[in-house]
Amino acid sequence: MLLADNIVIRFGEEYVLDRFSCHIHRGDFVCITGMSGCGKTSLLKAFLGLAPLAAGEIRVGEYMLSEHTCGAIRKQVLYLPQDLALPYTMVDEAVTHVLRVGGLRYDRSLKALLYANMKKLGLDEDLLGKRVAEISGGQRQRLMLAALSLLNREVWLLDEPTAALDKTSRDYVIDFLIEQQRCGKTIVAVSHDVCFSDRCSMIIQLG
Amino acid sequence: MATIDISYLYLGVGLLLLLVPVYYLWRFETGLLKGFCVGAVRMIVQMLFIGVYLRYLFEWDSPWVNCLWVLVMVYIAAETAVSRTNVRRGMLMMPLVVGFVVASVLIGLYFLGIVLQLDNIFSAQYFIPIMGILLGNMLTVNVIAVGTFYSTLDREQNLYYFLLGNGASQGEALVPFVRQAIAKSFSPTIANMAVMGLVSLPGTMIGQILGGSTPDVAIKYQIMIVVITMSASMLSLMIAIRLSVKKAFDGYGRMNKVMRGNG
Repeated sequence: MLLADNIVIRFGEEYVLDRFSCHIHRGDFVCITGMSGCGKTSLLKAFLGLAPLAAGEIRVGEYMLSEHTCGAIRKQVLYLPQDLALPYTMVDEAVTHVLRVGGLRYDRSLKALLYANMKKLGLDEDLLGKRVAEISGGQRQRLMLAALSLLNREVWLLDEPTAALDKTSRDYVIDFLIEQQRCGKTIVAVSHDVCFSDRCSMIIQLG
Repeated sequence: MATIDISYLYLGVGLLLLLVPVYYLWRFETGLLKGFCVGAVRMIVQMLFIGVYLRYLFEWDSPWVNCLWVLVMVYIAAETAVSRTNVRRGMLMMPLVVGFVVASVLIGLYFLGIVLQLDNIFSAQYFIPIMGILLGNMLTVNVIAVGTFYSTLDREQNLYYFLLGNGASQGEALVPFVRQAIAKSFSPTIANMAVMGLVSLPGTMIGQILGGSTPDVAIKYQIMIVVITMSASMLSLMIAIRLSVKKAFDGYGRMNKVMRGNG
């Protein structure tokens, strides 16, 4: 499903990944771990064509990554970065925008699915009526996960999905991801969290 | 009814009023005194020079010379806009020039040719002041909007990559940043427009009334001035952003270095 073949990621003179390879199969639940600055986020971004690839090849599904295929690849992928700031006043507006990006209309049936996902992630429905400034970083991250999951993408790339969470909320997220994995999704997450990596089917250790 | 001229002696008497802001800028140690004095002197000298060459432009009244003069104004406006934003010059200069030229030609000539129905749309009496007011407004809006667009994009790259990474086209991923740039640059104009005539009496209208026009003629011109400046500002901004983003991103949609001084 995801293949990195001898890739080199370089920012100027600084090598972040040097001749790195990995192969992730459909339905895998992978944790990318390692010390800070070892290239975890860069590897995640490389699958989307968002990191400067100096050498090597990347394949996502049927597409070999290039300037011409990156758009098609990104339409197969759910991507949740860490510390996402939302330039909206109301939470509802942020959700609507995310869904519109995925070509979905925020109608009654979709709302019901969103509520169901939010419940699985330990979030109350009334969160949607709040101002973005009123909700915590952890709530924002889980809410975006709940909304993005409605896009029904094959591959999920998540950067520190449990970083801002307490133990209970973290378990909600892990259980939700395992449920998605059982539905055939391929999940690749960057995490420092040992409790998270313990429940993944595969660990990629960098650095 | 002819306008009463101001002699240079009494212009000097009028300039004494500058002592009011000068005193308070000095009294409260604002640090703005030097800038204020330099700005005031520059304004007086520049306006006196403009008075001289506008007199020649009006005497010659040649379409070619007038167009050349407008092109000089466009270049100075673009140069000023580039220097006031922190965006790389090579990325912004040409998009601004194209935006200013296209917007002033389309909107300005629409007003002069279709609304005013002038026989000679390049007549210096109309062509030069209309282009001047359009460029002045386009400059203000573009400085604020383009600066906001790229500085926000540079600061909040995470949001842009989040939208792009989830399958948005580059245009869709840039929407929040364009929206913010428009809101910041047009909000003062929109607020001002809403109270025009109630709270503020705009300069063009006052100038025309002082120049001998009747109030109803002055009002119609003022309405059209607001309309054409808003339209030209928006059009030039959209062109400048559309053209400059071509240089701001690579083939994958990754952001190049757009701001000056960040490497």
